[in-house]
Amino acid sequence: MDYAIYIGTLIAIYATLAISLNLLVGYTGLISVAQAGVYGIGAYVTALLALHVTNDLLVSLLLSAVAGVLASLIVALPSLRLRNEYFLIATMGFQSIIFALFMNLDVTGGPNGLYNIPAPTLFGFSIKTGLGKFALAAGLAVLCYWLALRVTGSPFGRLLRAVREDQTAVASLGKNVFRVKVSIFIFSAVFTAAAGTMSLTAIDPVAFTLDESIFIITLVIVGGTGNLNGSILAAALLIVLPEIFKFLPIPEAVAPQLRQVLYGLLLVFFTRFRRQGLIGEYRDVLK
Amino acid sequence: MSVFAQFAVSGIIAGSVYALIALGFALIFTASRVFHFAHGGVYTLSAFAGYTALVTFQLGTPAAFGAAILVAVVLGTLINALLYEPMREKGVSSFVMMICSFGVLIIMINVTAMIWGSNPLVLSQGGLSTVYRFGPIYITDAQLQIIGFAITLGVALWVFFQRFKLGIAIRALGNDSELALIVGMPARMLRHISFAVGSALVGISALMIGFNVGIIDYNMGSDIILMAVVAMIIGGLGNVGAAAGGGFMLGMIQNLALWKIESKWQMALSFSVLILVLLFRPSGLFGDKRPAVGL
Repeated sequence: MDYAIYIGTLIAIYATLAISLNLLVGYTGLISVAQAGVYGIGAYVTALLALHVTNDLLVSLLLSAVAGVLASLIVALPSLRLRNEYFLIATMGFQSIIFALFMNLDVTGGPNGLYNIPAPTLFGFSIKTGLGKFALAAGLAVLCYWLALRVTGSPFGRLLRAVREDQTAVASLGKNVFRVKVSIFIFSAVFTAAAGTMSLTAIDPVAFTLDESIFIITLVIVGGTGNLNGSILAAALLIVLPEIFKFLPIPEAVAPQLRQVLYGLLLVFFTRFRRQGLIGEYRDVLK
Repeated sequence: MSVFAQFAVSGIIAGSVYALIALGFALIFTASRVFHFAHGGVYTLSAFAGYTALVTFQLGTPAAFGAAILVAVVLGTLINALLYEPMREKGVSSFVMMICSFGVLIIMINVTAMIWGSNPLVLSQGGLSTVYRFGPIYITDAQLQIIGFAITLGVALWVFFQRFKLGIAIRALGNDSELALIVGMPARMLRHISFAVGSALVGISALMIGFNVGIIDYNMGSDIILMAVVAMIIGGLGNVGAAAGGGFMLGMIQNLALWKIESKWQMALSFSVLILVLLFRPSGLFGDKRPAVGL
């Protein structure tokens, strides 16, 4: 049972991350691979607060979000001058720089990361049990989903999709394309960083590499770009699927690699044969 | 002074390594406009193929290079034929091909680890490498070979793409593949050839670099392909020789920086240079003034 709750917590966290990235990819056509860095910043801010200042969840959520947004703006403002591949490569550069900071600074504990992080408290109650952590992560995922639905269904959401389709046309109507993009970057960063505050007892910097960013992209593409339900579905599928390996006669040493191969195959399959994802919008958003 | 000289030589060696990988990558990019990240996986698998021929089956160095080249060419051409070409036919953008390429890279790296294990393997020729001494500088024969190969290839490809009709045709193909088809160029065939040649180059390089480092491991391709991309962009897009220049530049920057900056910041430094170049000089340091690559 504890195991199922743990898997559920992971699904909730990755659903949050996938929805946040989907807002960028599926609605504005921007693929950032710096998401793992922003996610990590949320995690480190929370851990450092809990170790040195306070483990109050609301404080750490707020400050993580602020730090995540600041980092995200540093990534976005220069990168947004570039398009498509070049945008992605610029965010890849930032991702590597953020990772180098995690690995090499003293305050982040270097390659050892941070450990013995006190459990968070919410309104004075300590959240120690697996179930409590699951409830938190699920709560965040639901909030993120609901707000993302509201945003994408609003006139601003239509503007986002218009930017994705033809940003020159949008600009010619007098809309500020740059501001639209920055706004959605900020929204995305808030929830990406908030996902980092969840379920922490220890931090290993290796969890926030470029590979992790690519995994989050895989979730978005498998689920379907521009479809929020798809992101949740993909998070559930891609977390649960490799767990099946545990019941098959596979040597334990190759299991993690087999998992990566599976993710790679899914990414290749969906980009090659089914770019709308499992339940994406009808037409190719990725074209 | 002697410390500086040794740093500079280390820079040239590292730069040659980046230049070699960047050359094949840039050749493929020039013809197809795909950021072929899976090139890093081709690099890894061809090094392990060379290892298998050399160490496991004891077939000797020429056979090792043969195996590496064969595996590289087969993989590179297959990736193009099975993924990029059909996607291109359906009108899928090179951006999506790039994401697909990430998937292929992940598969290849992890398959390597599943076949050969995740521990590094020793690819030495029994410590036979000769060390030469030029004044205060030490350098091995493997390193001299890498430097020589990188410079020769860089110059040769530069001349090929600037002066030769076929080279200019491949650049034109990269700039506008539809127009190339209209004027009757065998576009698909030219891309296949570019993938084959680019992959063959990375197969040779993988083994030469393996001999220099002495060991190979399954993760060897993932960082080096990132450095190749950085090298190509700071060198200049749309010009294969410029990518080699970018590789040398990157190696020099990384190693000369060791004077003031600890080595753990090398990756961060390299990517900072990349971002600065992307923002302030997107045509690269040595590239054409107006590269038609949709920046």
